[in-house]
Amino acid sequence: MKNYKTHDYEGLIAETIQFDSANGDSINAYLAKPLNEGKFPCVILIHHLPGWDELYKEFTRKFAHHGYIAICPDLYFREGNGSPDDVAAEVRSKGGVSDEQVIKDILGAANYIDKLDIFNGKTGLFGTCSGGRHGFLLGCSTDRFDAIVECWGGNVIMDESSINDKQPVSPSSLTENFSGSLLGIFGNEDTSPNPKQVDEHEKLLKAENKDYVFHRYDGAGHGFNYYDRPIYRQEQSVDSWVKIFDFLDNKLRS
Amino acid sequence: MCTMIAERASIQGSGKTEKAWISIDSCDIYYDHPDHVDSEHAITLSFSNQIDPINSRISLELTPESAKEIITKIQVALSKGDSLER
Repeated sequence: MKNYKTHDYEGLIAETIQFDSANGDSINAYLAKPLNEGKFPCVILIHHLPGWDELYKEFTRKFAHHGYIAICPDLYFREGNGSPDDVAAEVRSKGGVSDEQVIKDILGAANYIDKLDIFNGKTGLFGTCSGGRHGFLLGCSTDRFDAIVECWGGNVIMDESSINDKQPVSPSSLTENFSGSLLGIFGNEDTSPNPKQVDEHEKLLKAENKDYVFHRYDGAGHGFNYYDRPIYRQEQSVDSWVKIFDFLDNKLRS
Repeated sequence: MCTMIAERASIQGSGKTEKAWISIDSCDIYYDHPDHVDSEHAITLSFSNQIDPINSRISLELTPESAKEIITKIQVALSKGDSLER
């Protein structure tokens, strides 16, 4: 955390909770909160296609360590109970979960955070891979979120052949509705999204005068801050986290 | 994670878990970023049965080249097996 000194108190609590989705039912989330005095902004984490996994629990605690209320809904809760990668494989075999359901789950999480005494009133979103795509989609669907971090969101640009019942709209087609500030993090060796798709994404944002900034990294592909996978790129990952916290601190703490 | 390239084969087979052999009736085949194998993309074979599709899962990640090699060797083995049965 910025301005941290070694004699400062640090503490957080992290646990599984249940909350009401705007879908009309309840699902689990992993919630991490600072134990320091004061009020804190919130980051809602939108997990990636590999699932509600240990990596995302660690990301959630990371945000709390940096002074955010962090909540990561289990977007696959309804699909079954098993190891995260087995549940994710089952979800993948069914073509994923619907955009509509994800939007309702994230809005439900935002409603849950609204009621916390320690909440300062500002909410950001953080998502990687499909979570990055969902973050951008949410930014185009509501003005609820002040800052959105989209890491390598694949299928933000969708062609007609990719449109389906669960993903009925290309998020890029909704760019004019985007509200809030956007930070995009991309690897230039990624194939989904590839550099041309990122160019197109940026072109649309520029055309609509949206508040955005992209950081695009050479020598890095998809998922380059997944330290538990061969695709991890240490230098680019460390730099991207600095950019992410600078962005969120600037947008959510003022 | 992002390609959404996924095919399903209905099959009849058995798979060996840590505890025992189990019946397998489907194989999902994905071409996507892998969890473990050191390759940009991989073919993941995810075998399961529909009685408990989540907890019966047995999976394998292969580099695309390895997947092609296995396809070739399976066809060779099947061809040799077919000639035995005649």
